[in-house]
Amino acid sequence: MELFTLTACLMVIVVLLNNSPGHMQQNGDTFAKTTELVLACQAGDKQAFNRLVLLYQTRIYNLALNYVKTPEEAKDLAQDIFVTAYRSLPSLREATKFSAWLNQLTINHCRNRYRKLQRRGYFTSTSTDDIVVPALLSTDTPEGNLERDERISLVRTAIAALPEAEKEIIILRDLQDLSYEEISATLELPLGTVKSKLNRARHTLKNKIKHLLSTP
Amino acid sequence: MNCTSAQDMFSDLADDELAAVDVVRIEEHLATCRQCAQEWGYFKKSLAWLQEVQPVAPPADFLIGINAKLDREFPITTWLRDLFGSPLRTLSSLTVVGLALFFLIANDNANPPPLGHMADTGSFTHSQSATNQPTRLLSRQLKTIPAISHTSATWSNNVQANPYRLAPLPTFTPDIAITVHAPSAETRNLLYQRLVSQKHWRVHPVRNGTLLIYLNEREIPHLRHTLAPHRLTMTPKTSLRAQAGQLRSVSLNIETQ
Ligand SMILES: [Zn+2]
Repeated sequence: MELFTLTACLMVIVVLLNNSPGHMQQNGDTFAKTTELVLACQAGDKQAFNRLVLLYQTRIYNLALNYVKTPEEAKDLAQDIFVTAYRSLPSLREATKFSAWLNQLTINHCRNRYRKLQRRGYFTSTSTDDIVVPALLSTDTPEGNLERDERISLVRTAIAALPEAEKEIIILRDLQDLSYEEISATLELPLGTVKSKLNRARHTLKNKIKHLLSTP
Repeated sequence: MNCTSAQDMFSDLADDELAAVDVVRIEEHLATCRQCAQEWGYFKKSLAWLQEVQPVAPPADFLIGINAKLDREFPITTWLRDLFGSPLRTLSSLTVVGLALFFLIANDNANPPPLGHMADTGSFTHSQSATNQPTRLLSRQLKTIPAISHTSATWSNNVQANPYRLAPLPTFTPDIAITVHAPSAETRNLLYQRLVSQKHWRVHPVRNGTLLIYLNEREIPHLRHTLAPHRLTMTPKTSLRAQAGQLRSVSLNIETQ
């Protein structure tokens, strides 16, 4: 029973760590756990796959949120990514590379879905430049909470309005906290290109919200 | 250094990726160029705002929905074959599952009184409304139902339909099948996440409102611990003893809180 309690505690800790703000880089425990689960899953253990989903669902769901318009669609897209992952997992040669492999699979899946929806005219605005980031509504609230929530929502709008390539790199670096090397592997770009694209993307974002940034 | 090359370095400067010599050069420029200094201020502020964007938790039915999609792709017969190995075993096992579901449905209609509240005390405690019947019924039933051969319920990895053939699956021989009925979707999703996070048993959502758990008797305390926060009723199904054949079967009902 003690062992079980200990395991349960560890599980909670792992889940908490995984859900902590935007941090994608894995700690040693998560890495070891992932590798163990991938091997178990490749051996046919579907429950191990479910536990993998629990470890990675927040990351994948939040990535998907940036490619579609509603949470419902993001859920559907992220679920499809995991179904594809389940189907493709036998082809993953090195279990230790699961995280990078899943990133790449996710980006490809999201891009395909995004382009498919775009072709169908799902995104009504043809140019993302048309999307205007509104000004902050309340300038002073007692707790400052509303202001912060507003800010977050406006930043999300601004990210959504970025061109696809710039959006991706901002999401991976600034929302998902990937290292330059991880981004380079995920997007299959040289390190120097990642850096220059990231600089450009950050400037574009800054310019989109400059009218908000200039308020004290 | 001109303004363009200074602003090209903002990202690296913010991420601490610049060589010391470049840091000195850009700082010199920022000290003398008002426009770049202002842009650098905006740049840093926008990055700080980005840091405020927190990940959103996926909806509660996220995981269970993935399994529904997987079951459509790899139908129920596939995992049953994965589970039990041969058509004959699958057939007999399906009988058990069918019986369990039958009694579950019967239980739904009968609306039995609450039998007990599972508490993390090592035994089942009486609930306030139920009197003497309730409690140790589950533990007693789990103990008293005669042990039945479970050789045919071995988890094995010998079926073509299983796409994972890279390594042998560790043998898992469940001797109890438990159906848990949780009418509230919220409770069910939460419970499923909790159950699936542990490797002591296998859990499958079988239809709306029902989870099917296979496990070994020695894991009952673990399961009890996991179910502890929920108020449960159990369907006594003594008649299942005779028909079960391989797996002992128990049905639990989670009351809506
Ligand atoms: Zn300048």
